[in-house]
Amino acid sequence: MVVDHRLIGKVGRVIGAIEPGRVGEIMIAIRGGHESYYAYAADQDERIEKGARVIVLEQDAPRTVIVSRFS
Amino acid sequence: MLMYKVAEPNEALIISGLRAHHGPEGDAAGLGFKIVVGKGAFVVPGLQKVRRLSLDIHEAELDLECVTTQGIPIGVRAVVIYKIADDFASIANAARRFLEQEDQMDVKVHNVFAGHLRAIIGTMTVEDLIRNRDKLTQATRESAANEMQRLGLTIDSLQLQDITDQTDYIQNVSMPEAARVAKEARIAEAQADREATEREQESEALKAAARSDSQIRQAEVMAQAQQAQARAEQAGPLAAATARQQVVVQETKVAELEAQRTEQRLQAEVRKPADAEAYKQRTLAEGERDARIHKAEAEAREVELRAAANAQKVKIEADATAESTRKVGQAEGAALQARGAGEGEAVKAKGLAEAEAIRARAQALAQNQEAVIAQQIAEQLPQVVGEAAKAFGNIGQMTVLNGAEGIGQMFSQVLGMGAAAVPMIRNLLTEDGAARRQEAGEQAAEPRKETRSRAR
Repeated sequence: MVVDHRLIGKVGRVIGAIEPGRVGEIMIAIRGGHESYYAYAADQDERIEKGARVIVLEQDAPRTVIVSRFS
Repeated sequence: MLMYKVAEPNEALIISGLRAHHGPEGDAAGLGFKIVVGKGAFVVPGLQKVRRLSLDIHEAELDLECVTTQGIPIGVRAVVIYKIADDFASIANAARRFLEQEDQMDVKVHNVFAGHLRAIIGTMTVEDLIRNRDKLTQATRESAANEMQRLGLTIDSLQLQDITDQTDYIQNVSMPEAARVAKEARIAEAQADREATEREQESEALKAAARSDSQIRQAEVMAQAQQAQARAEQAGPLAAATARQQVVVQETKVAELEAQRTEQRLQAEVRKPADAEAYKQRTLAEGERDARIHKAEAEAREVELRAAANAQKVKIEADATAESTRKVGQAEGAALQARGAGEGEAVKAKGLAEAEAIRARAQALAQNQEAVIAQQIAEQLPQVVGEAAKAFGNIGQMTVLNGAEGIGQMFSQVLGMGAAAVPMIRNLLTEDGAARRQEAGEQAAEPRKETRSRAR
């Protein structure tokens, strides 16, 4: 799979809550604009509410990333 | 024979052919073609092929009959807004599926999404559809995410435009709420009306009070304004008077200074010269006076000495004269004394003689009054006749008409008149004789006294 390395390490904000077993959504500043990515939490049991800041750890699918809470 | 192709901002160039499988753009390993976004690339016509893939936004309209989780059939009209994602993986996925077939993309997305939307609505209730937007988005994401990623698309938005309800479910659901809302609305309206009326009345009262206050305040302000105006009107003349007063004060000072200057000038120009002149004249006059005094003193001394000499001379002369006069007086006094003594003797002797004579006459009268009277008449007759003749004496010129006889007649008449007077005289003498005797007696009593006084 083609991995966009510019995505890793970026910090974004949650626009759709990330819950265990359910996909959420985050907004990241990239390529001079803002794009939304689907997101799962790195910790499977973690719940990240809407509005929280997260950091991108790895890319799972073209529009799906694994994030962790960034504080 | 190179051509330079430039990608528009909203498109990607898909270059395939010679050497495109390991171009400089991105990690194209195994991709089989080159993706160029936002810049240009040289292509060799014939050996390479360039396609353009629009990255514009697309929208697909959906109109579906769905069944909710409650089994209620509803009609849904929705719009899906999507685009080809901007990362190379998505562009590659999309390029493989939709390149040169972009007009079919909406149809394909519509078909994909129709199924997904049915599934989504099947997990939700009507109430959720109406109210819970987050749940709809979440459900869309969960069901459509993988499909859309495979197609290289990203969903920007899913909007439910309209929900139609054949069983009036929505209406019935809303009915109690509507009734409650209507009730509350009426209550609220009534309450609001009541409160509004109350407020209106309060407002009216407040307005009236405010109007009254305003009028009072206006009157006060007007009074203050008039007061201020009056004060301002007074201020002008007052300031003018003050200014004029100051001007007068300054002018007075100027006049005083001018007077002082004039005085100083007069002191310098008039008084000092005058003083000098006066001093000069006084000194001259004093000198002159002193000279005159000395001269007068000298003259006085001279006169004094001369007078003393004269006085001495006069005194001596007077002494001499007095001596001579005294001598002469003494001589004359002696002469007069001698003469007076002589005369006194003579008078004394005469008086004694007369007194003797009177006494003798008195004795004689006492003895023979008639003879005495006769004698007296005789003594007096010539005088009587003389008095009678005086009557003629007063006539200037007498003309006698009958010659010598006339003159004789006239003399006889005169004599007759004298004769006629004799008895009258006698009477007179008789009466007079008594008085004279008495008188003669008294005279005889003090003849010595009379003589003594005359001697003195």
